[in-house]
Amino acid sequence: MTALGALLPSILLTAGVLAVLFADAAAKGRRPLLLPWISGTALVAVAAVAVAWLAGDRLGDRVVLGALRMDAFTAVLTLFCAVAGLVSILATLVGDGNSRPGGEFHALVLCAVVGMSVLAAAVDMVTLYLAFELVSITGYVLVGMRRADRLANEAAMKYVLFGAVSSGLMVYGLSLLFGLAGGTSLEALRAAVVSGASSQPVFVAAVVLVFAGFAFKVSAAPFHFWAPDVYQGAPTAVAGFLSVASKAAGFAGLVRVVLALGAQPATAKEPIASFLPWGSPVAAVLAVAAVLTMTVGNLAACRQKDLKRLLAYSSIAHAGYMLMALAVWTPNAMSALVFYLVTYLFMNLAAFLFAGIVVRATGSSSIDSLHGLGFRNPWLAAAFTLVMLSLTGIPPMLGFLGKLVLFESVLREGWVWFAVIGLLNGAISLYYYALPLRRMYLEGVAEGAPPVRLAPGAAVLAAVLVLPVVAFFLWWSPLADWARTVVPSLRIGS
Amino acid sequence: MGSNLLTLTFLIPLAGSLLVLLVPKESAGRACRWVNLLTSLATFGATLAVWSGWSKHTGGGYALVEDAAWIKAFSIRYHLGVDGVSVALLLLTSFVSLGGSLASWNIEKSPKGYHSMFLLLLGGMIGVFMALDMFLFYLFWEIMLLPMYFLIGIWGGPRRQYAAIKFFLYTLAGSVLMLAAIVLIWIKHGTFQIPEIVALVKAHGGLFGEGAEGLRIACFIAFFVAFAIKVPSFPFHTWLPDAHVEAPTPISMILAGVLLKMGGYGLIRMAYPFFPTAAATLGTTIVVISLISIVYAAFVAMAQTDFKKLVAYSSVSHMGFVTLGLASLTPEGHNGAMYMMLAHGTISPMLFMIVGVIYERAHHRDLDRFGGLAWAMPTYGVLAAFGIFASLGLPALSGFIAEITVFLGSFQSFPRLTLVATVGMVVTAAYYLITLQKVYLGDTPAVYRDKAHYPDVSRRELLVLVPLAIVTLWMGILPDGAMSIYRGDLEGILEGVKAIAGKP
Amino acid sequence: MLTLALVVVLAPFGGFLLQSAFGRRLPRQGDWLTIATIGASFAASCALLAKVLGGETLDPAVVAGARFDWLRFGDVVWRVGVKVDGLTAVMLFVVTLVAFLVHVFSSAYMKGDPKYWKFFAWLQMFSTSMLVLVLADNLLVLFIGWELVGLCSYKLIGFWSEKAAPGNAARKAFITTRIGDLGMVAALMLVYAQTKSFAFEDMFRAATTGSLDSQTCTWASLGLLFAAMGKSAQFPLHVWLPDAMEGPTPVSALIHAATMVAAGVYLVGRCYPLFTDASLLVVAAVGGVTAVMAGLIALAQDDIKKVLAYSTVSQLGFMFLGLGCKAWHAALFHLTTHAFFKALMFLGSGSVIHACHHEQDMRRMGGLWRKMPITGTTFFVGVLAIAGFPFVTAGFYSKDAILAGAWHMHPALAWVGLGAAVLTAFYMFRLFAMTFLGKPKDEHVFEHAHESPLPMTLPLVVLGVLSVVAGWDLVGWHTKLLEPTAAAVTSAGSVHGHEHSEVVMTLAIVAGLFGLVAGFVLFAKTSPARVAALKRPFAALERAFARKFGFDELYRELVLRPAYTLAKILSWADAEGVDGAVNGIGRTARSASRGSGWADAKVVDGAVRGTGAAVLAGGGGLSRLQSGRFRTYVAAGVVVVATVLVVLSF
Repeated sequence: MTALGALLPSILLTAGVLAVLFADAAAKGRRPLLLPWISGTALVAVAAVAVAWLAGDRLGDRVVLGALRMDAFTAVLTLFCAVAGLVSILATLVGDGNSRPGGEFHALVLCAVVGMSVLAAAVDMVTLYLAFELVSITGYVLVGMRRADRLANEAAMKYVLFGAVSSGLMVYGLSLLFGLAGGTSLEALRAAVVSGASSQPVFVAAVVLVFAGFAFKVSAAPFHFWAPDVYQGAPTAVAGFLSVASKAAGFAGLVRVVLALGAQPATAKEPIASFLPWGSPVAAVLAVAAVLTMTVGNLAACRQKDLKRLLAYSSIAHAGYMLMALAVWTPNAMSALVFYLVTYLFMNLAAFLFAGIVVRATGSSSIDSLHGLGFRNPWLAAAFTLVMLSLTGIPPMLGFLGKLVLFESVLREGWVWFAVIGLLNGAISLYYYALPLRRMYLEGVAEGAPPVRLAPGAAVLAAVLVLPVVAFFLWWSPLADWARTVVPSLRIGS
Repeated sequence: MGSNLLTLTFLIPLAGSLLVLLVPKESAGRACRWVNLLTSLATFGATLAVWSGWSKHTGGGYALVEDAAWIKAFSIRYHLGVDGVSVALLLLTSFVSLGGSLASWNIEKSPKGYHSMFLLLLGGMIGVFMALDMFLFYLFWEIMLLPMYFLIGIWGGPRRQYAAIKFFLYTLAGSVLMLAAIVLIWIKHGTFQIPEIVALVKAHGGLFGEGAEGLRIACFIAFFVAFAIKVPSFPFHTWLPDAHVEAPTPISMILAGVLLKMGGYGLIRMAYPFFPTAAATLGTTIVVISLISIVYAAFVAMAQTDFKKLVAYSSVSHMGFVTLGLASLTPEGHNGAMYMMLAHGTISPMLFMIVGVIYERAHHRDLDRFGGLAWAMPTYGVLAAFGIFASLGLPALSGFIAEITVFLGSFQSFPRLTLVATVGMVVTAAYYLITLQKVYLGDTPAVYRDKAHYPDVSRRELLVLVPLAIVTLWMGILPDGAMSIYRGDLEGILEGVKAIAGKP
Repeated sequence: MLTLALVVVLAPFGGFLLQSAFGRRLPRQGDWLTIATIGASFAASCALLAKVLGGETLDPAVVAGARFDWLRFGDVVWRVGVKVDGLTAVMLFVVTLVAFLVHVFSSAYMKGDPKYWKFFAWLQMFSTSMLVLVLADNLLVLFIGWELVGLCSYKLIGFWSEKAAPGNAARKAFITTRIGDLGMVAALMLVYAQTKSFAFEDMFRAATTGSLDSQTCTWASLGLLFAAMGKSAQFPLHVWLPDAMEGPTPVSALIHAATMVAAGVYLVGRCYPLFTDASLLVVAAVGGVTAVMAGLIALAQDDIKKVLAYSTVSQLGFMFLGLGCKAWHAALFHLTTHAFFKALMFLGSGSVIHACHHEQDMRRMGGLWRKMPITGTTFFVGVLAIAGFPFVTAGFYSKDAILAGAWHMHPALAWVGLGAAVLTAFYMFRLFAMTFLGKPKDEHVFEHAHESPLPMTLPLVVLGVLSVVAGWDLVGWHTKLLEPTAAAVTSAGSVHGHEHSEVVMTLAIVAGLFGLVAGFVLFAKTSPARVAALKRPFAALERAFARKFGFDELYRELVLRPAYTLAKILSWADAEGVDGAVNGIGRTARSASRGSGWADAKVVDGAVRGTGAAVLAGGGGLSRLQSGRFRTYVAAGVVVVATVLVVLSF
């Protein structure tokens, strides 16, 4: 594959950005209906490229320009982020016309997807950092895009400051790693680690610092504090986009780094007895972060009264589950991670879509605004219910399958207690995911509440997202197999 | 039909559930209940067909098997099949649901949602009893959870939210444990197929290989707790009184009649045959738990003033016989336990309907405010007395056969403890007769003499109660009819367990 | 024979079904129908009796079709069937005859009752259940019949349960006998665990060959005894029977005098081979204590039915005494004669009560013989029979046989029996005198008294005749029926029912006559004032008798109240303890969420609130970021990283 081929997604997206900006400028302040078409086309094209890479098996797993690894993992993550971007754009369309965003929104989403696709492919520390920053900065702007909204401005500012601190820590950690590896390439780093660099004290410091940056990106504890404020303040579609695509990209980058840091699959000798594989500092840090993140996220979510904050904490908890897979770091765990990401894509985007619809209709993002929704709009409520149950991990919803696959990969290595903590967390999460259900169904019909209508476009989008959530259990073999195709490209244990 | 009969059987209620949603809003109430009734009837018919299909099957093992690859990556199969145990419980399920469907006739609140959930629940229950793949089993198991949550939570009584959440959390906690055990088995042995696992146990004398007794016991406990919550056994029973008290009458009927039986079924189908040695090791513990369930719940029932709560606690007490019988590892004990499931499965819905009939008229269930209803509503009084005597284990009615066979079985293994359990018989008689006297005998307060507000049982109510009564009577006089359905297969399972557990 | 046996039991069952379905709509509410069915049953019983007299028996082990497979478990088959031997034949005759007479009697006695038809339906069901009990060839079916008669007894005691007292009495009866039934269940379990069969012949074979060891036999037989004590109202489970008199009087005659309460005696008699010497001693002790105790209580009762009830308890104790003394034949013989004369007296009392407009207090009766000659005369026959008036009455022969057995066992036991016999004669004559002799004490009651109609007097006459002739070995029903069975069920050498001892006979005659004469002197010939004066020194005793030795109070304090309290405590514990534990877990989780929510509440929410406040205070721009809270949460992240770094670098 040529370098041009590898850069095709970036090129397409950048072209999209330019087209959007020109079209917006040409429209002179009116909001042309063309914009979504342009950005949508660009994203669809990128998705098509990614699918073609996967289907044609023409990636060949090679590094281009010394900085980007073109492998199945890259393709999958690119596809993933493109779809998330597309859904977010569609989500802004299905509401009423007044809230439709301007050209800059489309441009920023496209830019973010560029960053994400590069982040997933990056095998060079500088590229990695640049992509990381691209994703971050577009995120800051997207959050603060509604200039008139004080809450949004505040959220954006918090996001910026928190992001700045994290990326400061991260770039410091990367510079330490550069010193150890004697180069910016992750391959070089890996070679250095294998030849004994990991025994140096500074190595551990570097690992922690780099992980701090990624922890911010995937909203892992203790770098999760921004998420609730940001998701609450940001437009719902943006919040959904950040919680899914930005998080996935963060995980992609993390996977590349963990690979370079020479993580070994952690298999417990004694089932049940072993809690954590203390053998590897990388796995230890990840495992602790996983437990902390899911517990903090779930427990704090129980106390939320705002729907978007609730979803924010829920997404923190899900980051914790996904970190479990990284801590285990076996081929199974990696395919479970990919599988989990896919389930998360559908259900979380759907959750934010519904939250947005409710917020727009009632003007409030409080959970109480769901009161009696089960009788005001049964279809919407039913779909919302299914998504909530899926997030909880209740069969036969998609979320259950994600958790099943994930916990199986943990249990397989004998980390029974690790899995038990995860399962307990799942039980706790039921409490807060059931809160909206109680509001919607169990507390009777709300008299005089504003009607919540589901526009046809929104209904179609909702159906596209919810149908897999509900029906996937019927035949998830292909997805499970597909998630496995990613694994060889990661060359775990080699 | 032949090979797809089982799929069809659980698809009928699911299709009905969807059909209900398509009913236009104007005629919702009337049309939905008819769809429900006809679907339930069709399901009943389908289970009868399963019965006849099963009885034509020869050569042991499971009948009407449908086995297809499903999720290859996890070697999960779409594997359905029935043996006698399943057939008996399938018949019970569809029969009780038919009654429940009739009892749902005057649901006014959101009828579409109600009837849709009702049929979804039915589909889930049917599926549980025919799944031979543990993943599929788990799926059906959980599919029942949601409709039940909503049926209690939306159509229930004043404290329905609390009851629904409690039900949900309890059962979910149990099923998480079960899932962990299932996944562990899969990781170790790479299969979710129940028959394969049983064969593995037979071939190797237990799962997980040599020296993994600790893990086997842990897994057995996980299964046991998951199923004991459903049964429910002390101390996992406290969801039941709340759920029953708040649930609408037909849902109480199904909850008591069918859902509690899933626990027993799980023990028979999975917990015991998978971990015979662990079951034998923990035998005494299980007996003690059962014993507490029987006696303790009977005493607690005696102190109740809410009619429905009393019946709920009596369910806990009676279901204690199921675990008692299973723990005995004797043919009498196992057959009796299963018989108790069927007997309780018909008697307790009847009692809940009896409570429902009077609740619908009086809008309260306070035992101390009733009196003399047998004179005010004679037919109702007769049926109520019938139900009460059936439940307290009167001979010639099904409950007696169940109790006596369980006692005879468990005495062989645990003589002293079984003697203690017999005390439950007296306490049960005491609280039921007190109830009978408080509600039905004595002087009739003037309120209940008002024929307009307290008419005798309607034809529809009779249609619910009488078939249940007839089955109770039939099962009490000629128990072999029902028992012969499941006896062979159940004893086969027991043989397998005993061969490994080494118990005489 | 099988057909006849089936007719015996199925005729009343059919009657029950028809009567409950159509009884209300039939002419005369169907009483004729039930009389016909029970008559048919009686006829069939007579035919069976004749066959057994002719030497035939129905042994299900031999006769094809007399037994069928009911249930099976593993290799074990539960087979149930019908067994007819001498004992069965006698019991069938007694049960169906008394039941028939009670049906006839009730057709007059219950006239005008709003639930007339229902009464007959339940009488039919009772007869069916009792006949199932008698015909069973195995302990399990016997137990089924045993429980069903309990149900019918419950229904019939509580026939007028619109009122509280009959309802309470019915409940008490059912629960007390159910406590006894635990013994039966225990016995079933013990025997079954070893023999895997309930059939009498298998059990007995196991007991005699020793495959059922004697310890098991003792425990099992004690269990059976306990069940019998419940059903036959033996000390200390006797408390329900006097209360059961709340039921209609024909019910008392049929169930609580002649048949059901005698089922305990029948049970012990039927399962005699299981009883070891040790358990027989307990049987004798229970019987002796009951006979005397109930006799003493009966002395101080004023309700005509209560006296009869305690007399029944006492007489049943007598039978147990006989069984315990290995006088099997005598005990069963007494069961038969007692059934006749006690049914006679109960129906007689019913006739009196009917005549006196449901007055049961003897203190308001008196002098009724003149008004009710037939009732009075037959009643007198009954009194003589129960008192054991020598050489004529049936009671004399049966009682004498029991005393002879007791004497043979141990003279002390016989003295106990003699004491009870004196008491019996005494209080029975007291009853007779207070009711039929002397001057009317309540003119109003006396005015209205009248002789009862034919359907009521006819049964009295029949029973009166039987109370006399049953003692004579007329058709050879001793020698041909009971004795062969006795030989079969008791091991050789232990049968000594007919070893008439001159001493015992003399003593028995003296005892009976003494009691009668004393009663006659005291209650017919002495003025009430003088009687009261005579009684004064014994006031405390009399109070104790009248209060039935305080058993009801004792049970209320020692059993009922603790049980209720326990129920209340457990119910509370269930709500607060067991459920509380679960809720406690929930609470813990919630407080954990509160704890972890500290970060949320203090740091993040605080930051939001803080910035919000700052915005309001200082307007837009970046001022909100100077709120200080924001620094806290950035610092939190940095501090954590620093800590981890420090920890890891050491």
